[in-house]
This record gives sequence, C-alpha cells and structure tokens, in this order.
Amino acid sequence: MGLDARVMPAAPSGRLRLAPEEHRRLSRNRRLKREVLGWAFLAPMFLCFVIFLVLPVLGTVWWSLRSGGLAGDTKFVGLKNFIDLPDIVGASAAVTNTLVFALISVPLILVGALAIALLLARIERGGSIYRFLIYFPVLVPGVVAALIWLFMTNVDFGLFNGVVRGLGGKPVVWLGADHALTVLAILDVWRNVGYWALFFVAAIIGLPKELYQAAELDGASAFARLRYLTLPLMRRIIFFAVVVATIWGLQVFDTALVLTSGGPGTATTTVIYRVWLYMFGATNKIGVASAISLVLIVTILLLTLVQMRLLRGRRGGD
Amino acid sequence: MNQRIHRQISALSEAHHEARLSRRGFVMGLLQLGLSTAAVASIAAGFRPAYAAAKSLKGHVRFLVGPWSEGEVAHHKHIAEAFNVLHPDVTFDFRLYQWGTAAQEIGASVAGGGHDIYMTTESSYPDYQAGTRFADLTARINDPAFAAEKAKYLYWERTESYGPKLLGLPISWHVEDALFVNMDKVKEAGHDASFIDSWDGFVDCIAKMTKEGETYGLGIGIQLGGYGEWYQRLRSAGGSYLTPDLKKPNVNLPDVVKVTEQMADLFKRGIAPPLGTYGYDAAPAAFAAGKLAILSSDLAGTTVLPKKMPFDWKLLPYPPGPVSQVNFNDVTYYMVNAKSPDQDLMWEVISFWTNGANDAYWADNSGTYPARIDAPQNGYGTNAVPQLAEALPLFEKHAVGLENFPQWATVEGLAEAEIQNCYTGKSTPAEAVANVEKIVIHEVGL
Amino acid sequence: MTPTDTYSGPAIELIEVAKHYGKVTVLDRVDLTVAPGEFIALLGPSGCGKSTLLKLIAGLDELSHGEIHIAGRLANYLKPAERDVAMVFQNYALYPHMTVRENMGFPLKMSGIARDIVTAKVDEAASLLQLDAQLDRFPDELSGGQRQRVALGRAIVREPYVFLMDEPLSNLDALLRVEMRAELVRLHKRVGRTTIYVTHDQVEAMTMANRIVLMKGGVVQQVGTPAEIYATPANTFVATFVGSPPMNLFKGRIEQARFRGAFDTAVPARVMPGDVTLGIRPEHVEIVEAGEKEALAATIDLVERVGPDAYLRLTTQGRATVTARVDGASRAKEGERVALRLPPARLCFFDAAGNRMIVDKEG
Repeated sequence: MGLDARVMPAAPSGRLRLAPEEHRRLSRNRRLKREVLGWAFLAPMFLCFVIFLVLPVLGTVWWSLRSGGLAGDTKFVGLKNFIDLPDIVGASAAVTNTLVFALISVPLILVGALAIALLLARIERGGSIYRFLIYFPVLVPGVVAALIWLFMTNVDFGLFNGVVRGLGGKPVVWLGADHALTVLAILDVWRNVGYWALFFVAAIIGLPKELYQAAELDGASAFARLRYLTLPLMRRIIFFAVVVATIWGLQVFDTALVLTSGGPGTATTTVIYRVWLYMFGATNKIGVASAISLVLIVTILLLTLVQMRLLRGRRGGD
Repeated sequence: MNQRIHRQISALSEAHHEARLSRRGFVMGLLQLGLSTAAVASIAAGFRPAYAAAKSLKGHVRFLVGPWSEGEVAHHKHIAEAFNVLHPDVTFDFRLYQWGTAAQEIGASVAGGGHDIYMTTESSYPDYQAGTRFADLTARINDPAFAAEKAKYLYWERTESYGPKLLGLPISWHVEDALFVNMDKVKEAGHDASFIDSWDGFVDCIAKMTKEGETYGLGIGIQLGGYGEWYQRLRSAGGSYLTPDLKKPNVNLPDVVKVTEQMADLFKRGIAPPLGTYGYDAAPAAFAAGKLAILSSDLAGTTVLPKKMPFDWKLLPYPPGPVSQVNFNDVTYYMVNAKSPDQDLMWEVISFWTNGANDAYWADNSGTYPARIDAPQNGYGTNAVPQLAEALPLFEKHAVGLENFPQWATVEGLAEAEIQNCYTGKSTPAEAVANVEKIVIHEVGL
Repeated sequence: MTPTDTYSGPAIELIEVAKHYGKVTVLDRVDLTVAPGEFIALLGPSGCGKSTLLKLIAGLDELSHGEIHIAGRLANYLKPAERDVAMVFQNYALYPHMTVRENMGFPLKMSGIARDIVTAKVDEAASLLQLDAQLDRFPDELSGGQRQRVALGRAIVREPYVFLMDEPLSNLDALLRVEMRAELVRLHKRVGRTTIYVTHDQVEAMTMANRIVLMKGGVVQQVGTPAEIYATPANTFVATFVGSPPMNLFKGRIEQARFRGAFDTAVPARVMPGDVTLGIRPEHVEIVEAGEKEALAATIDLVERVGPDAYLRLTTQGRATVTARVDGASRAKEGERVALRLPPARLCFFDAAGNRMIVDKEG
C-alpha cells in the first residue's frame, strides 16, 4: 500500500498533510506487515525447534517422574528416580569413566586439531587432498569406525599388535580392562580431530595477514605469534570447540557399544551407556534412563556456563 | 483334539463346498484322515462355533521377530507358504528387530498396534505378565481341545510360574552357557568328556590345555557385559537373585563367593584369556583356530562355526557347583498383540508356526533347540550341527530358567558386568558379589 | 642498541632490486640510496610496485634479484625482526585483543626488555602522540586518527633504524589526513629517523618527503626532491602524475626555434629541432591581451572555481586543449574569447620517447 497523492486529504491545520492518527495507522500497518512476514519466516524453524527439542525434553521430564516401560503400565513416582540415582551400583564408575574419557579425548582432539590446522593452513599446493584425508574419519559412521577399530585392535591379527610384534613386544589386549577406555578415547580423537582441524583451518585462514607481518617485524617468533596472536585471536572459536567437544565427549556411546559393550566389566561403561542399558536393556526402566539423561543435560549446561565464565575474554577475534 | 487334523478337515470341507473337490474326493480325503478323528473333529467343532468348518481364514498378519540367523525372514516365509496351502487368503509381513533394542522395539510396537505377532524372550515375560498389551491366551491354551497339543510344548511349568495368564506359545529354548569343547585337546591333556564332572577336573584340564602364546584353555566372558554365564554359577552354588518368595536377595552366600573366586582364579592363573581378548564375534573363530580349547558361549555360536571343523568337538554343560549342576536357558515365545482385530486368526497362525514340523524346521535352521518334544520326529537335526542334537539331553537334564520378577533382565545385565570387574582385578570376588546383591536390592526396589 | 649506532654510510642501499611472480615482473632493477634521516616517499599509481618494494625492505617478501643493504649490512637474508626496521600498515594492523599499551609495548616485550622499561617507553611515546588517556583502551574503542597514532607509537617505541610506512593516512578522512600529515612531519623532525613512506597521494609526497621516488609499472621514473620533480619532471608520466591539474602536453615539431603543432609559438633557441612533446604547467599559462606578442587566440570552454584558484579549460584555434590556472577572483566566463601566451622560459620539452630533453634556460 502506498500513499496516493490524489487521495491525500488537504492539510487540516499546520503544515503536515496527514493527521497524526493517520500517520499512526499507516506506520502500525507497516510494522504489522513486517512482523507477520518475520514470523512467517521464523515459523518452520520454530516448529522444528518445538518438535525436535522442546517436546522430547518435556517427554524426558514426564518419563523421569514415572516407573514402568512402554510395554507395561506406568505410574507416577515423583522424584524417586532422581533420589535413587546415587544408590545405583556403578554410578560413580560410569561418571568417572565419562570424565576420564573426556579428559583424555578433548585436549588431544583440540591440541591435535590445532596443530594439524596450523600445518594445513600453510600448505598451498595439494591442500584439498590433505584436508580430505584428515576429514575422512569424520565421514565414517561411529558404528563403522568402531568395527574398523575392532579389527585394528584384534589381539591375534590386528594392525596394532602387528606393529607391537614388529617392534619385538608382546601382544597387548587393547580392549582389556586396563586399556579399553584409553583406546576408546583415542578412537574418538581419530574420529573428531579432522572435524575440528578443518574448523580451525577456516578460522586461521580468515585471520588478518597484516597482523602476522606486523608481529614478524615486531620480532615475534613463530611460537610467540601462536601464543600472542593466533590463540588469542581464535579465543572464541577455540572456546566454542572446547564446549562442543566436551559435550560430545560426555555423550560418548556408539563406539563404546560396538567396540566394548561397556566392558570388560564396567571399564568402559559411560553415563550414556547406562542410559542405554536402562532404556533398551530393560523393559521397565525408562524413568531411570530419563532421570539420568536429565541430570546429564543439566550437568552439561552447568559445565558450559562454567567454561563460559572461565574463558570469557574481554576481547578477541571472531 | 488335534488342531492340525481339525484344520485339515476344514480345508477339505471348504474345498468341497467351493466345488474345487468332488464329493468323492472329499470322502476319500476324510477316509485318509481317519473316520474316527473326523467324528471327533465334528464333535469338537460343536464346542467352538468360531471354528465352523466352513469358515475360511482371511486377513493380514504382521510379525516382529528376532534375527536368530541370517535366514530368519526366509525361514518364516517358508512356513508361511505351507500355511497358505491351507489358507490362501492370509497374507504375511515379517520385520526384524535388533537384539540390543528388542525390548523397546517390541514395547513401542505392541503399544502402538504396529504388529500382530511378536517373538519375545523369557527375560521380558514377567514384565509382560504385569501389563495388558499382549493377548491373554490362557483360555485357548488350556482348552481341552488343545490339551494333546499343549502336552507337546516344553516348560509350561516355568511359563505358568510367571503369573495367572498364559501369554504365548513357546518356540525354542536356548542354552546361554554352553561349553564348546575341542575334544582333541582334551584327549591330549589326558582327559575325556568326564572332565566336566567336577570343578577340579575341569580346571586341571583347562590348565593342561593352555599353552602360553598359543592356546588358552577356556575362553569366557566373551559377551562383555555378559549374559547367563555367571548366573549359571550362581544357581549352581544354590544362590539366586531373589529368594523364591521374591522378598529378599539371595546372592551374597559363601558358596556364591566361592564359585566366583573359582571363576576369577581362571584369569589369575592365566588359563583364561584376559577379558577383552576375544569379543563375541571373534571368539568362535578363535575356537575354530585352536586358540581357545574351550569356548563358553550361547548356542548361537554353532551357526557361525564352519560345518567341518579340523578337530572333534562337543557341546557340554558347565561342571556342577557346590550345590547342583545347572544349565541356564531361556525360552522364546510367540505372543499376540491384544489390539489385533482377528484374534482367532492369530491363534491359528501361532499354533501353526509352533507345530512339530514348523518348530523343528525353524529351530534346526536357527541353531537353537525346538520347544516341541515332537520336533526330532519332524526333522529336527538335519540342518544344524550334529553336536546340538547330541547335547540336547545333557542340557535338558539340568536346565534352569530365570526368576519371576520384572527386573530380572536389568539385574542380569548389570550383575554380569559387575562380576567381570573381579575377573579383571578391579574388585575382589567378595566385593563383586556384594555389589551384585546391592544391584538386586536397588533395581528390584527392596 | 645496534651496530648501526656508529655507522655513518647510507641508511639504505638498493642495488638492482627486482621481484618477479612467475613471469610477471613487479619490480624491475630498482637502484636507490637513502641517506640517514631522510624522508623518502615512494609515489606512484596503484600496482606500480611501491608497496612491494617496501615489503622487500621490511623482509616480508623475498626478492628475486639484487641486494638490499640497511645500515651497511646486507639485509637479504635477515629476518624482518633483524633488520631494525619498523612498519606502519595501511590498516594499522593493531592487535585487536591487546590494549593500546599492550600494542605499543609488544615489540619491546618480544625483544625481552624488562617490564618497567617497556612501561616507561610506552608512556613516553604515548605522551609524544597524545595517547596518554587511551592507553588502557582497545583498538576498536579508538577513532581512526587515534588508531593511526597507536600504529605509529608501536613503531616509535622500538626506536628502529628505519621507519617504513605503507599508505598510513589513506584510511583517514580528508581533514584528519591533513592534520596527521603535519604531525608525521613534526614527528620525523623530532625522531630524526630514516623514513620510507609509500603513498599514491602526490600531495602527501610533495609536502612530507625530502625526496620522492616516483614509480610506474615496477620501474623507477624519477628520484628527486619535490621541487625537482615538479619543476623538471623526467618524463611525460612524471609531468602528468605530479601536479594538479596536470601539466599541459602538446605534440609537435621544433623548427627554427619555434614549436609547430596545433599552434605555433616561440621556444628557446637552444632546443634541438625535431619531434617533441611540449609541456607547460597550468599556472604558467598566461592570459594576455589579444594582439600581444606570441598571443594565441582561444575560447574558454569551462571554468572550474576551487576557491583561491580557478582553472580554465581553453581551446585554441588549432583545437589544442590548454588548462590554465588563474586567480580565483578572475571574471573569466565560459564561451569568452581570450588570448593566452606560453612563456618560453617556462616550457619543458620531451623527446619522442617521452623523456625530458635538457635545455639550458635563457639568460
């Protein structure tokens, strides 16, 4: 709708041609149109958000307050599922395993990814081939990755023990109680390092070149440039990576299921693995599984908040 | 009365009515079946108007079944073809669930009416007993007309012990803790099959068969997280998760600690490979390659072993424990969704699927034991490895099942993992057993 | 601080410095000697190689041929930090995550100087640049001029032997640019260090530099003081690049001490006969009474008034276009017929290749 000069009323008083209420009406119309359009664009995303995020979380909350399972009858039990959580035998083992896993895998992934990214960013020719090779494990589904590693860690004919034997050592039971969690963490590094490496490469390439020239003139060594320029400039991106990699790490599951089934014993039973056990290994424990999930979600939220506090800088490159 | 004869008479009379069969053909058919049974059949038909001879079966049946072997769906299609000879108007659809997510897939499907007939395992049975999702088949199973058939199924006592309702017809029973024994190596060690008669003989034989860097005497714990392996030792020591009245835990007994120590000792002595050396899939291959003289596994291992092995081998049960010799097995059932509209049709289908011939066919091709006593006469053992049939009497003799409480499966999963912690030296057998008792208390909610 | 303290030779010597990227020659055998304390402007249009030359001196790029000597040392194989040069970048290249103090102190910190000395030097530079109040701010909290000063400060605190500046004022608005220009000159006088200053702005070069190196297509066109460059351009490119409006150029022939082309006018007797390009700056074109000796009739096509001056675009009878600079108060009108005169003493002559011909002045 436009203002047509022909239908415009004569100026009633003063010098404005339109009465104040007319101005208000027209501007309201215009605003409304913009709002409706905005919501129309937002609606599909919002709907997805509700269906795939809000409803499942609400469902989890609902289930966490009930006993029973899909096939049987359920009943409301209040907070019992939460109150009983600490009494679960192996709860501390699951939490410890999860934390140890994250503590091994997350730093290795991020430091490794950063190192690879710094090298990749320098490669001028054939870079895309290296990038593909490094990204390749990311494209392998978790279950397939676990199967590949199942072969590599095989005691009798696996690649790892082939190397060990070649070096004159005794075969190692890679998936035994002592090493299984570490192997699982290294597998996670293998799977994720390429993802974060490419992520960092994109960030490094985007850093202003002049800053590095200036730093070079200022006498900053390669290490000093990394320490005083690259790392601070990538602070937010690294922080994002730390948060997301930690969240992923705390949710490790698919590889643990295929590679070790949480064992030997409870050596690789993680928190999510316990959720899975209750969810799918039993017919009537959805409530407990939901309660653990909620505790994990809240823990991750809190952890993220703490990390944000710790890493929040005054300033930094984006 | 015999449902099969009844069905055959129905089919004959149907064909006659539809003029596909001449009057003479009809009479001849009846004669072939035997006039006496025909007479009984016509009387029986009077009891059950729903089975009026003229009624033709029609409809669509949706199965949700477990992947016992690669040919699971093909085996069902084979049985369905036989069924369609009698009832051409019934169509079928077969879907597989995954073992790892079986309980939830079945639970969600039965709640939503997704399928009509389900293959379920005994470990969930106590839980289903408490619910109302599956059709109550008690009246049909206990129908006097079905009595002769019912007598041919195994383990009714166990099934009836879970509660007042009968929810399914058994298809198979599966030994979870069988020993696959390389008899050549047993002989080399100076033993014979009687080495399993005592724990000491068992350990002596295992120790003698162990050759460092070459062969381990006994591969156990190949199912990380385990299933039924330690449970069998628990029962052999007179223990169980709960007392028979289901009111108290019955785990932390001196004999149970003792058998657990015996198991842990196998690892300490290095005559069992450290846990994690061989997984569930790699272990049968290791046995076939002679790296394991004995493999402790469920019967499904027989389906992946080569038909021709380079050595003589047997399936044997575990040695007796301080209290008794036991084998742990569990039963598989067909159950019917209570929401399925045509319950009569479903009953017809599951009783056909579990008749002697079909049960024999399915179990024989799935590497497990049929739940029908008449299966051997109906061809069981022609496809499976001969060791299975040979060991059947041994396993049958000391068979025990699970206990009747809905959390049994959860407890079993957590308990076996907890016990494995003492095999890896992370806890002592006494601590592990005490922890299992705690698991029982917490999961059952005592 | 460095061995340069006792050195007294040329500050910088460039010998046959060349740079190629593949088959493309960006710099072609540049020779230049810079005296200590000199302020040299590298001037030229974009793509002339001036920034490349600066980067070669800084050590940010490797040269393909030639030698660079800084304070008598061969610098080719020295790292940027070892050359004792400081550079100010066009976009300042301030570290966005560091405060002004940290930015300015960074080079000192990198050379391992004690913290209190760093603080003192930064404070000194800050007061010199009037940045005292901004020391704890971050670059994105500063105005363009302040950022510029921080960039200068970061260079100054190092007390380098040579300052390199890459179009440092081009991101500032016009007014600030004039201000900063003066400030840079003042600073140079005060600090007294050799400075090489890259710019495409002839006014900056003319007002600030002791000497100008005028470049085009990777080749040095002329090296000289601003006055020399202006008065005696080495070729037609220099003649038109420096000066605004540019020098008038006319093609023609010299015959019997007269220029014959679009118009005919007297030239000094010593100019060699032959094909030439004749040049004259607009401010030397005289508007005279018609009929005066050597007067050329012309029509005013356009009058551009720029305050104190006015530029007249004239067309002679022979269809030559001449620009003349006259007093801003002139009453000249478009379409008016006037006469103009090209004083022979003010004329420049370029040969067929466009190079300046040496002509002794009359008298």
